[in-house]
Amino acid sequence: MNSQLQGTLIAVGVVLLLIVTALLAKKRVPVRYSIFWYFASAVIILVGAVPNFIGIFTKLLGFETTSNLVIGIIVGLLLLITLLLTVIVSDQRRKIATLTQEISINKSSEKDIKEQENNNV
Amino acid sequence: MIYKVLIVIPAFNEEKSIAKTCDSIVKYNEVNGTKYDMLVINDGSTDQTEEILSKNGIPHIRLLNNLGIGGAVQTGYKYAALHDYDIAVQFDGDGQHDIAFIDDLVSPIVNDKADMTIGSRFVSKGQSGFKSSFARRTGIKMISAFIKMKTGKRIFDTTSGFRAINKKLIRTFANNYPLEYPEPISTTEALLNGYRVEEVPVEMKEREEGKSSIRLYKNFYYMVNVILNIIIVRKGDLDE
Repeated sequence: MNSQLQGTLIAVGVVLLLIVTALLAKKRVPVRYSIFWYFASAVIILVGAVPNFIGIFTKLLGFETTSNLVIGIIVGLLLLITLLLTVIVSDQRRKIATLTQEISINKSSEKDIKEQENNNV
Repeated sequence: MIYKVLIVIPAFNEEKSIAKTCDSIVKYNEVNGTKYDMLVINDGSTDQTEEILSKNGIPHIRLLNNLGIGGAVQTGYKYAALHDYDIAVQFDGDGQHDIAFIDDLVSPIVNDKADMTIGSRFVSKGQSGFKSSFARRTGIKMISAFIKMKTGKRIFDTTSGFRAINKKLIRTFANNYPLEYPEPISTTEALLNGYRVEEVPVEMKEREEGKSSIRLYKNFYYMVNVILNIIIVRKGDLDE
């Protein structure tokens, strides 16, 4: 890995770190999700700052060059984030369904159902 | 003892058939002296379904969002649990099901022979009626094989939406019901958790209006999903 790529990686990692910190400060991101993003930026900075550390893994994991491994690591992080998002979305889908059901039942039973039930009897 | 029975009718864009379906239930009650309540769950329809329901004074709940068949039916179970119904019957709003068979579904539950009954096109009698296309039947057979593998019990009409459950299952499903592919999955869950599921022969008509929720081009995707879902069902899934 050449020094330009090292510099780019460190810069990207630091910018990501700053963005996450700013979002956290404005409370746009809850702490529990920010931790993952801090972890991601730490990985990117580490890869840039200590190229020897990652160099060992290049051949070990079957990558031709260290820069390919860097891309691999970033793709891996993205996959992980997407997977986490899928879990979060499914959880929220369930919660929204419950809310929709409960609100709809309450709204309906307030007005027509009771009248209609009385009519039926 | 008089059993309180609620017929839950999920309806998504059923403007052409919903009034007829509900009318058949009212007539059935009149002729047979039964007092089955009905509740249409308007699953966020975008056509005239809501207007028709209101105009005809049909008891219904209008869901604020479209939740799909599972979410709609579960709304009916929640309502049934809330109002202390003994039996809930799921009945399609599209005119496919025949209300004449309702007593066949309800009586095994009343006689405590079953916790859940499924109106089936594929068990004895009922040979003259609508049996669905070849592709669909093959799919249903595959799902049936997986349910048998998982639970040890053969259910023939796995996707039938004409079914009845007792009070215990009403309360269970009110809290915990699959949003996706509810019929085969809830059957598997009920069987694995020790509930007694029985099939009852019924005849079905071909859909008169509207579209089936299982469309042809989605069949393969549907099958893969259902089978995966059946494989991951575990005992205890119905506990809270």
